[in-house]
Amino acid sequence: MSRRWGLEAKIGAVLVAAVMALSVLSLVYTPHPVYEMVSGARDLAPSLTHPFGTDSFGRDQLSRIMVGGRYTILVALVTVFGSALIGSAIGLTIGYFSGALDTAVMRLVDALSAFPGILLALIFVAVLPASSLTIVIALLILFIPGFTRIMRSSMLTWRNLDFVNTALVMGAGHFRIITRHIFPNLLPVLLSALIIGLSNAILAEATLSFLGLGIQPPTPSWGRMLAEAQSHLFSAPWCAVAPGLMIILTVLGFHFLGEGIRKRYC
Amino acid sequence: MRAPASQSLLRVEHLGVGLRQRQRRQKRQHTIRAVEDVSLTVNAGEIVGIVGESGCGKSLTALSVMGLLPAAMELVGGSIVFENERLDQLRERNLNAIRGNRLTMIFQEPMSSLNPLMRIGRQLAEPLVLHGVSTAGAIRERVLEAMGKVGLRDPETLLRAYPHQLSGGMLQRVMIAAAIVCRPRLIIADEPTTALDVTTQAQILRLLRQINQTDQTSILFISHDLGVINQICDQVLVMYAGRIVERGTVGNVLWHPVHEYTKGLIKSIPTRRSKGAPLPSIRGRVPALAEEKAGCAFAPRCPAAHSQCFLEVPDELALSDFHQVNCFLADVESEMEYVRI
Ligand SMILES: Nc1ncnc2c1ncn2[C@@H]1O[C@H](COP(=O)(O)OP(=O)(O)OP(=O)(O)O)[C@@H](O)[C@H]1O
Ligand SMILES: [Mg+2]
Repeated sequence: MSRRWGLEAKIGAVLVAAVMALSVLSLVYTPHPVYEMVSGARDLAPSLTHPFGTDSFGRDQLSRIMVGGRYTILVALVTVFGSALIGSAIGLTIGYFSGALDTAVMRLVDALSAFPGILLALIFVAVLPASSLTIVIALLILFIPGFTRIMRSSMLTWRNLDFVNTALVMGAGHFRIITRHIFPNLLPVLLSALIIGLSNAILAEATLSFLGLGIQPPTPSWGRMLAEAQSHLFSAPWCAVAPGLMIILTVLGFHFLGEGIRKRYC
Repeated sequence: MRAPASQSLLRVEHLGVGLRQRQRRQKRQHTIRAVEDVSLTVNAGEIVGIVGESGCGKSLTALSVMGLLPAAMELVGGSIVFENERLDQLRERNLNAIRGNRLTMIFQEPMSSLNPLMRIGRQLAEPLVLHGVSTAGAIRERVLEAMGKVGLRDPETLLRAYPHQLSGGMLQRVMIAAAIVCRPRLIIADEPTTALDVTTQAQILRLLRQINQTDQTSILFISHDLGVINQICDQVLVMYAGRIVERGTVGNVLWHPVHEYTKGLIKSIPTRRSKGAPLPSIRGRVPALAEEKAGCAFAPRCPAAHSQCFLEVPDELALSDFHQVNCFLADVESEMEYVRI
């Protein structure tokens, strides 16, 4: 616990803010229409009109990255907040009450985490039709165990503190104690887990889209753009650099921010 | 005051608390008891003390009454009646309607007994919110009234403060304010002054006494300090190894102790006259929970124990209406005092 925000948190905040700003800006403005294919402008190297060059269909990379960021971040936000909500509810409950339910749920969580995440996601995507919704559901389930574990262990340390007894003595019920008395104390932990979760979700979404299982064309997505750039890696390397750089910067940004928050409060 | 026709507010009978058995195969009689056959009565407006060495089951007795035994412990018999309601048979929801309202508790560590992230104002309002005072104005009025009663000055600033900004003595006052804000009939105070310095301790004791006198609030006061008990209590129960060994009015028990354990406790209080001399202490130690206890638990440490003491558990012997003792050595005939002191 430290008094001030570290450099980490500041760099993270700037990076995240920049990526967010680009994505939000794409709602009202992109340098070129995203879906416009210009046959005379294929595989152009970066220039003033196309800062990140164009791909083999003659689409402006910058515009596609901006719009792709929107989807990537949206998917990450929805999955992470969804799984944080479900995971927290489960983790807080089993941590507070302990007992047989706790043991049972934790074994399930262990089993779920023992699977390589990508395999689990692949199973979902194989069973359900490939779409943005599928990827959201797959990632959602993938991230629940992490939040369950974190919230449960924090609950275990907090629920035996004296002030919980004070609340009980005042006549507060268990639900109120969990939500009003203990949960606010766990917010910093949750916040840092949320933000690190966002960076993981962005990576996972990129991976799945790279494998062609995530966001479907023509909707741009960073992972998909990377995959498409693969075949032109030598003729048009900028096609890979642009989405790759975005993924790195975003993931790094969220990671720094999460670490910064953790160092400050936990 | 001669035996007032006071109504009993809290009546605990034959309370037993044991370590929860994990294996169902283990038989009941092997249950490890931390509290055994404890009976006590708190009348309206009375302060009753429980005294005893560390680990003798004082807190567990108190927590049983509140329905807040630690997970490892369970009730293994007895009854707890508060205002004509069997607390031990009440559902959680009904218990919550009583806790914090008519029956409440104060703990030893004021520093950790308040929520670090909640402003004092909200923590003081919590019992009111939980017990049906809903308008902001009414809550404010009651909170300020309680703060006034416990002598907390500058309430406006205090309401907005967080616990870490206050001293231990102030926090204990806040705890007491939170306890009395719903005007309870009984407060259980588990070593409320142990964590405080001597001056603050005296102030808190005075405060509790004052609350007891002005509001007729009964207090079950737990302490291992006989001096404190002597100052504040009307009745006292002496506990040893999970059982009550001697009980009665403070005057009778503390000034004319009969049980060797009580005598030992009193002898080991440092006094001005004993200055310089080595402080007497009771030889031996409190038996561990799991130790097999045949006979009187104090027998191995008792200077006057005879063979019967090691074989049977003594029943309660009434020396008078105001003094009972569980000891084979006590002799009604030789007892001089039959009056309430
Ligand atoms: N959660 C628990 N799990 C196991 N044993 C416990 C638990 N709580 C209390 N005990 C045991 O029960 C016995 C009585 O404990 P209790 O807390 O009532 O003692 P006490 O008289 O309040 O002592 P102190 O003066 O130290 O507060 C002790 O031997 C203690 O070790
Ligand atoms: Mg105790």
